[in-house]
Order: sequence, then C-alpha cells, then structure tokens
Amino acid sequence: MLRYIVGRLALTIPVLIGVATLIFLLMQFIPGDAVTAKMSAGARFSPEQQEVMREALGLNRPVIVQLGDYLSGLVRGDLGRSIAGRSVIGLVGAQIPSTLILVAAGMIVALVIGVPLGVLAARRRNTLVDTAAMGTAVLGLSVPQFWLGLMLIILFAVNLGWFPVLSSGGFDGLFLPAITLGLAEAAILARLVRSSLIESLEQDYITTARAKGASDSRVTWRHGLRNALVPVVTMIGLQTGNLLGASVVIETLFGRQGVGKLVVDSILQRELAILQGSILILASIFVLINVIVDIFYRVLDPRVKLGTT
Amino acid sequence: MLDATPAPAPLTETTVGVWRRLLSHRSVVVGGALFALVLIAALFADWLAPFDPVDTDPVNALLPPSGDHWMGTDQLGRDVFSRVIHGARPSLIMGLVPMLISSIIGTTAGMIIGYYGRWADLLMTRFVDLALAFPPILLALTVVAVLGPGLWSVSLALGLSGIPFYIRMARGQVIQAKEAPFVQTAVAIGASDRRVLFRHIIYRVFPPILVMMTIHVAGAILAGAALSFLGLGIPPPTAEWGTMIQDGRQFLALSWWTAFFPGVALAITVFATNLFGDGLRDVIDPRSKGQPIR
Amino acid sequence: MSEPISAHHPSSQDPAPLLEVRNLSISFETHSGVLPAIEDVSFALHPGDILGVVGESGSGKTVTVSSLVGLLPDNAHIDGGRILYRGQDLLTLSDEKLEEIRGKEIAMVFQDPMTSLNPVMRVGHQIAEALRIHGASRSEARERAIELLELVDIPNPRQRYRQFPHELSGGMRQRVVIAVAIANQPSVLIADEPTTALDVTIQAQVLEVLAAGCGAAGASMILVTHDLGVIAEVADRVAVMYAGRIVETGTVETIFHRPRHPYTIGLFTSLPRLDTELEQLQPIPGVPPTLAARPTGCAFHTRCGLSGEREPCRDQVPELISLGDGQSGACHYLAETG
Ligand SMILES: Nc1ncnc2c1ncn2[C@@H]1O[C@H](COP(=O)(O)OP(=O)(O)O)[C@@H](O)[C@H]1O
Ligand code: SF4
Ligand SMILES: [Mg+2]
Repeated sequence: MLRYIVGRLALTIPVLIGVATLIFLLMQFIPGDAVTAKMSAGARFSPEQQEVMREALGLNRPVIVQLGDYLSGLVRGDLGRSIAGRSVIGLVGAQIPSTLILVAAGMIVALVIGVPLGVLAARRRNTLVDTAAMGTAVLGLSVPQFWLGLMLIILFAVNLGWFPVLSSGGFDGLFLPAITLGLAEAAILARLVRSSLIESLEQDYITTARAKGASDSRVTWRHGLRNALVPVVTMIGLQTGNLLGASVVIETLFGRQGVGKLVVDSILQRELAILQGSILILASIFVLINVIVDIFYRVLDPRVKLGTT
Repeated sequence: MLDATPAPAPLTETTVGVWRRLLSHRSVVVGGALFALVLIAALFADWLAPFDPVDTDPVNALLPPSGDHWMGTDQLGRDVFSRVIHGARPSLIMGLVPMLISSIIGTTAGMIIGYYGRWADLLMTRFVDLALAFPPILLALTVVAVLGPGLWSVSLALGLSGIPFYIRMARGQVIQAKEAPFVQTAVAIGASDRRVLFRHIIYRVFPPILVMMTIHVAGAILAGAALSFLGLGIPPPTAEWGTMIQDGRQFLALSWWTAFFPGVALAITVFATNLFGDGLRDVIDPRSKGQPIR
Repeated sequence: MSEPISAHHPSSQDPAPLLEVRNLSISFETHSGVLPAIEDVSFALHPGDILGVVGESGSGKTVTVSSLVGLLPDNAHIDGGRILYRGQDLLTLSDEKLEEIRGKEIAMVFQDPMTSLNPVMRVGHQIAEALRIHGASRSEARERAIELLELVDIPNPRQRYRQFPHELSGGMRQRVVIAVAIANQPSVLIADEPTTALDVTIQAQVLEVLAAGCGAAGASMILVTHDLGVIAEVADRVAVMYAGRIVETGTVETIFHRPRHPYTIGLFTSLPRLDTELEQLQPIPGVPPTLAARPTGCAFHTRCGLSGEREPCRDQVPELISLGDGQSGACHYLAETG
C-alpha cells in the first residue's frame, strides 16, 4: 500500500509541472505586466524607469527562460511576489485552510443529502417517491448556486436572522455557504447513487444475501450500497473539482476569505502573480484529492490490484 | 466504386423509431417545450418586453411587482420583467456558442486522434489530462482574464474550456467503434479513412456526444451567468441574468424581486435543458452516466 | 464417479414430508402480457431425502425452487398453491418470519460462484454473516465460519477467511457458497445447478463436498440439475420438469430403469452412454418452448414421438397419474410406454 501511495504521488509531479506551465503560458497572453499593473494602481513611471524595472524583474527575458525561472521557483516553494511586493505563497497559503474547510463542509452536505436520497429513490424505483426525488435532483442541478445562496441569505440571515449575512468564520458562518455549495453536488450524487445501487441490487450476490435471511435494509446498505459506492467514489473525486471551482463564486458571494475569493480579486486588480498562484494551488489541491480518492478506491474495491495505476 | 457503403450505420435504420420515442418521452417533451419558450423570449424580446430593458427611470426605482411592472423595477427604475425577457438572449448565446465551439473542435480532434492513435493520441491525451486537472470553471476564468469581459469572450472561454471533455468522449467511442464489425467490413472493402470515420464511426460517436452537448449547454449557461455575477462576464447595462442578480444583491434587504426573478428564469432555462438532455440520454444512450460539464 | 456418494436411503413412504408443494402456479409479467411459467406443480421432500429436479433449460426449475424461499424475481406472481414447510404455509408468512426461515431452516446454493459472492466482502465474513443474522455472536460466528471452511475442504481456512472472492478459484468459491448454505444446519438445502458453471474436472469434487455438507448438516436436499449423471450419483427421488410442469416423478431406480414419460425417455436416449454407440444417440428434436409460445394440451406434443397427430395431446393437459411404486407420469398414453 505504501509503495502504491508513493508511486501515485510521484505520478502527480509531471501533472503539476504541466499544470504550472499551462497557467504560466496562459498568463503570458494577459495584456500588461507587473509594471503596467503598478501604474494602473496609481504609480507613475517614466518609460526609462519602466524599462529599468522590467530589466530588474527579468520581464525582458525570453518566455522560456522566465518559465524555467518560475518552475525552479516553485520547487523552492516560491510563487513570486504581488505588485506590492508581498510573497504570493504567503498570501495564498494563508487562505488554503478556509477553502479546504468550505469544500469539506460542502462535500459533507452533498453526501448527507445525496446518498440517502439516491438510496431512497433506488429502493422505491419507478414509484412516485423516485420520480419526486429525481425531479428534485434535476432541479438541484439547475438552480444557479450564487442565486440559491442569495435566497438563503435573504431567508435565513436577513429575515429570520438565524445566521450571519456575511460568513466571517466559525461554524455559524460556514452553514449557509456549505449548503449552497453542497446542494448541486448532492443532486449529482443522488442520481449516481440511484443508478449504481439499482444496478448492484440486481446482482446475484444480492440474492445470496437475501437467501441468508438478511433483512431488506441489511441487503441494501451492507451489500448493495457497499458495491454501489465503488463508482460513486470516483465521482466524488471529480466533484471536489466542482466544489473547488465553485468556491470562487461562493466565497465571493458570502464575503468569505479563501483561495477562490483571491482568484476573483486578483483578476479584478490585475494581480497576475497572485492569480497564477491561486489557480495553481486550487489545481494542486484537486490533483492531490484525486490521489486520495484513488487510494480510497483501492480500499473499497479489493479487485483492483495495488501497484497498478 | 470501391467506396460503396456496406451495412448502413446503426443510427440511420432506426431514426424514425428514435424520433417517435423522443417525442413520447416526458422529459424530452417538457424540457423541449420549456426551452422553446426561452428561445421565443430570446428571439422576440423586442416585441414581447413591455419596456425598454436599459431605459432608466430613477423616480420609479425599486418598485415592488405590480400590474404595471409584473416583476417590479430595479435600482435604476428599469422594468425587471423586460430585462428578464431580454436576458434570455445572452444566456442562450453563452450556452449554445460554447457548446458549438467545444463540440465541433473537440469531437473532430477526439475522433482523429482516436482513429490514428500513435504519438498524436499520446500527446493529446496528456494535454487533455492536464486540462482536466483544473477544477471546472477555473480554466474559463483564466481565459476570461486573458480576453477581458464581454459576451463573446465569455462564450469563447467557456467554449475552449469544454473542448477536453469532448476529446475524451469522442476518442473513447472511436477506439471502441474501431473494433465493431461494421467498421471492420468498411475497412476491408477499402473505404477511405475519411469515409470510415465520418460515414461509419461517427454514428457510434454521435449519440453520447449529442447527450453531452445538451448537458453542456446547461452547464455553460450556469457558468456564464456565474462569471457575469462575479463581474467578469457581461458588463452593465446589458440585461443579463447573472449581472442582474449581482445588481440586485446590493438591494436585497429592500427589494427581493430584483435578484429573485432573473434567478428563476435562469433556473427554468437550465432545468429545461437538463431535463431535455436526460430524456435524450434515456432514449439514445441509455448506458452512459455523464457528469455535468461546468 | 462410480460409487454413489449418497449415504441416504429412499424413504418416500415417510408419512410427514418436511417440505410439501401443492398445486403451485407462478406467472410472469412480461412485455407480451402475463405468462404462466409454473403450472400446478406438486411434490414432497421427506426428511433425509435428496430430491433431484431435472429438465432442459427453461423448464422452470429455478423459478420453482426460488419460490420455496421467497426469492422470486420482482415480476413474478404466485397464482395459487401452497408451500408447506413442517406444515406451515410459507406463502402466508410475513417478510420477517420468512427471513427467519431463510438461511436458517431452508438454505440455498446458487449456480454461478463467480457472481453469487459479494466481491467486496471477505469470504469469511460472508459465511459469518449467515450466522450473525441468525443470532450468533461475532466471535462464535468467526470460529464457526473457520470450521465450515475446513468442512468444505478448503485448505488454510484461517488465511482463506480473510481473502476476497476474486482471490479464489471457481471451485473454491462454490465451496464457500456451500459453507454459507450449511452454516446454520438447515433442514432443507436447495442447490440450483451447483456444478454447472464449474470446470468439468472439479464438478465431481464439489458435488461430493455438497453431499457431505448436506449430510453433516443433517439436511434434506433439493438438487436441481440438467445432468442425469448427477441425479444418478446422489439423488433418492427424481422429478422431471417440462415447460413449467412436472411430467414424471419417482425413485431414482424406477425412473432410471423404467422411465415412462416420452420426455423422460427422450432425456435418456439423448444421453451418451458407455453401452450405446454414438450413432444411436437420439436427441429430442426441436427446442423447449419459450414462455410466450407454450403449446396447448400436452406442452411436449410439438416434440413428442409418441404423440403423432393425436388429438388429446393437442387439446388436453395430461394429469399426473400414479403408476405404483411411487412413480407417476403425466401423459395420455402411458399405457404404450409400460
Ligand atoms: N424474471 C422473469 N421474467 C420473465 N420470464 C422469466 C423470468 N425468469 C424466468 N423466466 C422464464 O421462466 C421459464 C423458466 O425459467 P427457469 O426456472 O429459469 O428455467 P430453468 O431453471 O429450468 O432453466 C423460462 O422460460 C424463463 O424464460
Ligand atoms: S401426452 Fe401426448 S404429447 Fe404428451 S407426452 Fe404423452 S404422448 Fe407425448
Ligand atoms: Mg435455472
């Protein structure tokens, strides 16, 4: 197992380098650079001064050299500096815990709502309960999160006063953002759990379990769902990507600190280094979470051999 | 001619049956009808909307819904109902244009690399893996940062970021279809590569791609609205649902209607598309289990 | 396979059957309407007996035995009849009561060991689960499961206990399935084609393990197979099924020495034997009918050599009539086969 984990982690290195390169190259297309960004922030430099600064920052060098520089910086944990000269890794790093907490909370909401809903629909398949549950799920997929969040704020924060309007931190402030974030994923999970469970409930080993005298609920949860979870786990890996992406919207909406909010702010303020760093961090978290999911997948499904990737 | 077509492709024989099943599928009908409504709103907004969507009237700002203003007015006194109707236009564009861009480029690329394989395939799959290593929407966000805000740059951004999904799907389908007997027959009687790909294999590739396209439209509409909500999409004063919700957000405590109705319109549009896509999947590609593209 | 491995003796004269099926009829809801699958089936299983059920594929063997433990598919409907276990009608029991009987009193061995074990559960746990469900403590269940693994001749039971099904061969897996079935010392063991899916080289071994396990549990058995050789090997009594009905039944000796129903006779003449030349093999012409296309009258009349074009065969369903010695047959012209 340990060997598998180490191998799987090693495999992420080229992916992360590729991701960093891709972001870096994309950034090259953004009009303007650190110097023009400083000027649009109010500073005034003469053309000569600008030249000197570009020289000092290494912005005049060929892109490939700058890329090499950037990548070697990454290895040392250096993500560059903001316009104001602050270390990007420090800025972004400080926001990681908040985003991770939000994403984890969103995932918990998704699981707590999505899995039971999917199981219910599967056990009552082709009944009114099933139709209602799946209709709700499609609706859940279709409601824009930022709007849902706003409506929850109006209802629960403004009118009922149960939660703070802005999510400063703490459990109270986490509740509405997590619900907003998790509902759409709950809908996706419910649909997948339903179809996957229906499929597994048709397998022969379910008949074997029933022949042992196992009760309906034991058959469903111990045998059916346990097998149905194998594809669900893969989906959960992909869903963390959705959650990380959506954190951009949710954090902005709830005024919550986090890497996602940093992305939006840095675009609006032309803070390219911060933008680059934040996206890299979000993508890296996604890649690493998928490693964990892969490992978990192998624990869940003993048929998948350790050591194969 | 050696190029004579052997065994007709599987989809064509049953086209009539597929249409019949589609038209009798509840989700397809309901979703299609709702979507048609939105389409009508978008096409005939100028006639349907009672007021000009951008004309301001500060005296009548933030009026609640009434007989005159069914959905009230916003902070500049604009009629929310008229803006909601006009908002269908950019939303549909942000849904359909990215879908067309990604599906055309992605499917073609995926089919070609899937068919020819070798180094192009290797290179492309690596690249697709990379692109898919980004949480969805982030890639689009980055491209928007490059292109600047606006309807077409958002559409292009969403279109580009959707390409990898189609490449992966088309490639997988082609690799499977290559082994199918009807394809092997075509190859054996000497059909040209282009003919094999675009006359035979395409019928295997098409059903799942079609389903993906509808679901992609839903995702792109949501993502486009989200970008506008973040201030990175369509700038004011254009009537756009995401922007409207952002505007309404500041006056939420005073006037729920300014943010409420555009959201409902958005939800209905996306719901219609998802419903349609679900039904389509049931009918033409029942085995697949897609996840939404965002 | 020369010596019969059954330790039992025919005891069909026992007054009180353990399990008795009376006039059972089952139909399926299908795309082409509600179609009868099992019609008017009756048989009895006496304590200590092994009842073989034979018939070509599709004759209704699986449906019949599945109904005994309430494991019919969702689209099945029981149209009538009774299933009496120790005098109690199983068809009238609540789900909870049936669950208590299932796996404890009546247990089942399935056909395909590749699919009948849960792929993500250790085999030991799957055996232990059968015990846990019926009240054993965790440690009891574990110890007993290891004993059971040993009983079905699985080497290194303690290590095997922790393995997953995919780590075991087909034969080993079927032994595990047998262990699951006999775990609670059931009174009735139902084995549905227990060796059909296995490699021919190990079929005999597994059959032996099954018979031994059945003996160790003190169970009576219903053994479903389409292999007459298996019946000869282990069964005491035989029921021959065709198109959802029992067409002939009797002790193994009578059925093998004096088969009377044309279908049973057909089964024997289509069987390769050491004492007949290959050319003399006479397979029954045609194929068994599907549910939707069951012939009228005697369902076998489309394939029966004896029928000719005789009207009763086409119009009247033959009753099962006693022929003495515990043998009965359902054919209008049994007199001509005597
Ligand atoms: N769930 C079902 N729905 C419809 N028909 C079924 C179903 N299960 C079995 N049948 C039909 O019932 C008949 C008897 O099947 P089965 O008992 O499995 O036969 P056997 O075990 O003797 O091979 C067959 O014709 C089969 O097609
Ligand atoms: S009743 Fe007629 S058709 Fe049926 S087995 Fe007897 S002779 Fe053959
Ligand atoms: Mg069977």
